[in-house]
Amino acid sequence: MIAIVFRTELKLLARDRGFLLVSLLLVGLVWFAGLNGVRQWQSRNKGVAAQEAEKRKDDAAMIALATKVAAQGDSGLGFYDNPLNPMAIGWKHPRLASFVTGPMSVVSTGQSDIYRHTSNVSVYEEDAYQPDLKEMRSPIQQMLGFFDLSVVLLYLLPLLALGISYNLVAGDRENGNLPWIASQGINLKHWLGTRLLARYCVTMVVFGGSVTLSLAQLGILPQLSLSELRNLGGFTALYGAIWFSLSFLVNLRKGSSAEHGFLLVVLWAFALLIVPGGSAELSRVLYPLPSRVSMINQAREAIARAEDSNDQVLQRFYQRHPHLKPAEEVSRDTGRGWFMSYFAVREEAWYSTEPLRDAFDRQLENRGRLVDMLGVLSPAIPFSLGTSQISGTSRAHYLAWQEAVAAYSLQWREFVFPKVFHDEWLNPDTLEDLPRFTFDPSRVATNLSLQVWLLVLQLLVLLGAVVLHPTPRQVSPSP
Amino acid sequence: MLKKELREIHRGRRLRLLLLSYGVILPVVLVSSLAEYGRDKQLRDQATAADRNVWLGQGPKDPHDAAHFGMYAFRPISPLSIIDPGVNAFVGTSLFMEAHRRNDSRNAGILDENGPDRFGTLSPRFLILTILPLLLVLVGFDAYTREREGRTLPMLTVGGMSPLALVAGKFLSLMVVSLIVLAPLAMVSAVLSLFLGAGGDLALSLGLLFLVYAVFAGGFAALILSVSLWAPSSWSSLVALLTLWFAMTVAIPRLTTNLAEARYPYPTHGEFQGRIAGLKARGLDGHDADSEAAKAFERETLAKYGVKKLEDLPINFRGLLAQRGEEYESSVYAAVYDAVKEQYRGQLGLFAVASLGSPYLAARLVSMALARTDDPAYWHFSDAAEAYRIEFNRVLNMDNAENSTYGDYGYRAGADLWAKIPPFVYEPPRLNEILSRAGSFLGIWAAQFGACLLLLIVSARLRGTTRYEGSGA
Repeated sequence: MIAIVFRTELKLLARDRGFLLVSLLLVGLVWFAGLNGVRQWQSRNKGVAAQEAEKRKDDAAMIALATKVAAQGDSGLGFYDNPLNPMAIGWKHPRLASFVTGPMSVVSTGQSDIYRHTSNVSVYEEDAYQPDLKEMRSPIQQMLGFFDLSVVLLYLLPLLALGISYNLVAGDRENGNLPWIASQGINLKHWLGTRLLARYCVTMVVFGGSVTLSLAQLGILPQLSLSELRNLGGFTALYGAIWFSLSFLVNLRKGSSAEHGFLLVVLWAFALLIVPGGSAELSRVLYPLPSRVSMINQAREAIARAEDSNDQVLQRFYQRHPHLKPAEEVSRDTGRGWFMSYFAVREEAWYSTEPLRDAFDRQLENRGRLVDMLGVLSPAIPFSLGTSQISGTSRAHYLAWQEAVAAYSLQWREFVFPKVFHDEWLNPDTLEDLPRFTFDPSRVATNLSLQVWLLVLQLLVLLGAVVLHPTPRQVSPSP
Repeated sequence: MLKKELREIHRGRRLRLLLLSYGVILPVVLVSSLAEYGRDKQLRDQATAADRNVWLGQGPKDPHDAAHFGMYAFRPISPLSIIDPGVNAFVGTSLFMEAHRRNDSRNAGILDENGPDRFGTLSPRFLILTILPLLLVLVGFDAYTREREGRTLPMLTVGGMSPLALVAGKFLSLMVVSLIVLAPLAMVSAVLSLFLGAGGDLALSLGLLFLVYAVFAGGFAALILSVSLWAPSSWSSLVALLTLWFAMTVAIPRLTTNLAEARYPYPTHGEFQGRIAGLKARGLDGHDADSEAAKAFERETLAKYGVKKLEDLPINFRGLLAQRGEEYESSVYAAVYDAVKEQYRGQLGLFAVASLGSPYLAARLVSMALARTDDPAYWHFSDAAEAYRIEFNRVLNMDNAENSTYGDYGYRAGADLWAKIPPFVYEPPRLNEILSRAGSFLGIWAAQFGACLLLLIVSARLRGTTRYEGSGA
């Protein structure tokens, strides 16, 4: 009997012109969303490649000039134009740190529209310790967001699920079929579950098939690993199952089709619109961040204080970095002396804001934990966070990239500073072997498993509620 | 008719459930928006005062070193951002003003968020422009289909009630629901604006803001009734209206973002910096007295003063060179930022076209403009800070030129000079300026309302009579 219901359901859907039309429309939308993702990904990586090529050209010219200067003397080059001068290298020839996103990033824009994918690391940058890597993009675009595959799955998969399942019991009750079905000796809950399962399978085929086809047509599919596809497929399947389970529960209630439809739309709006915004708001209220504005003030005051007590600042700097202490006294009025004092002052200011920064980081962690926990209230939160993690465009990825840039910045200083402080000029061979930036997005630690468990938990709770809910007994419409 | 509609809506459980949810959410949204605004304002006021003190107390130093020490401008937040925070989270809060460089603002709030905020900030604007239409859809999708399915339309028209009177009653009942949502927000906002000491300009903006919201709700109500008039059944009416809502609120804005990216892309940060570096390299660097451009300026200055050596000038050439370099660099920044603004204008044109199909988009752009939380409001602040930066650098460079001698690096200016530079005071754009700028969106928004009303009247004339009664039941 169950098999018959399943097959009948498939036939019903196959004959439903409205469903077929919506499915076709979805295939088009998915392809268009995929195309948008591919365009963004290509444009992003093209920009990175162009800057890397430009940097290679700049480095080649720098080495050629350095070789010439080493052989023939600087012949009147400006102080900051001589590439053998470590201060010039530190300022005029910044290193390039890049973040190349993988092909999976076509699925979800995530935070890739917010952050930069290249950073010029110079020892003079104010943000060498904590770079501000916000991308230059129209804020209105960032505010409204992009239309990508994750948006289609996030918003439209539940809508389709609810649209084809809201009235499975009430609809048959209203058109008089339910008494006939009930007379066949089948448990109504099993009958409903089978119908929903059939519709779930078809929905997954529509979405899974259209995503796979569009990725294949756009040339992305062969570039993806099996584990990436498995993760995306698994996430989508779980997300869809949650919405069908919710529909199952609502279908078991008394009430008309219109009431069920209304209730499901309200639940959809809460899950997709109210709860995510509310979670972000709640995390802000419960864990307010110490102000970055106050941090700026503190740093400025520290710089002003440090500039007034330059000698003590330098002493403390050398205590922290004994290997940098020059053998001779260096006057602050010389270029080298100015350089040394400038960085000692900046480092002093950096340390002075450490407690505030620690408090800031703690609150950010607390916020993140709370938002993760609140993900239990709406499948949209773990699904959205999870797809961006699978795509390599999550906040975790960009924070890791930011940390890598900060670490590289310190590494670059560690290369330049000893040469400046000990007045050692470079030679062309050293320039061939400058520290290089490396960042592997695939090694970034994310909490994807937590997002999976949150979805699994929601699914289990809904299925539990379905099991505990009494089987509908009313087979005729209310008078 | 209005009484009957309101009674029916009141009797149904739908509105009660929705208003109950709204009643829970609204105070939370208002309190958190207000708390955020109050905290931000206090911190920025404190930071501005503290930075001024740091500037004034920086001690004696070379004026050019003081220019490098620089100052911070903290972007003031409009009180109307309590209603519509606009792009606030996506633009920086602080802007460092120094010699040689026009810095972009830093520390945008979005960098400290965890992801769910990308769904949309829970603000009064979100409740009005995103949730209210959905609420109206859920209340009014069956306004006509219900009458047809229940065969009650003849009873209404048998007494001689015209289709237009019928539709007016239904329309007004949806407007009453809108007012139930809008009125508490408007009242709280009006009290807050008095409490925050907002001047006449802001109070007028606030009034206009709620007028925009009310008209937007009216347009949507008209659309809902039109669809309900044409829909064969309640469910098809609901599906059609939800599709419309989704298209207008989620799909069209996001698709336009993609289109804007393809047609009018912003340069990446790296490209932007590359352009600046390229243009700077072609001109005069105030720190490099040996460059060709500096030599040409040297010759020009010597000729102007009729002397042969820099030492003979009545003014320190180093200060003049720094100032000339600053002027060149400022022109470079003006050019590259103008190019970005041009891209923005292109994007805005696309958004204007797209908003023809999405009253939500038109209303949202008008709302941000009136709240002074849109992109142009940010540019306004950034340009004001740049004008201030250029001026304070000029004062410092000319002080160097007039009070020190060529080749002497020992000159130190002090507190008098620092105090001579007035604090940066920012005046946000006035309402008339905003109205002239956002005129196209206001026009689109008004035309959309007219079109929705016209559609409703035509639909009521064609479909609002008993001739069609039962056709879709």
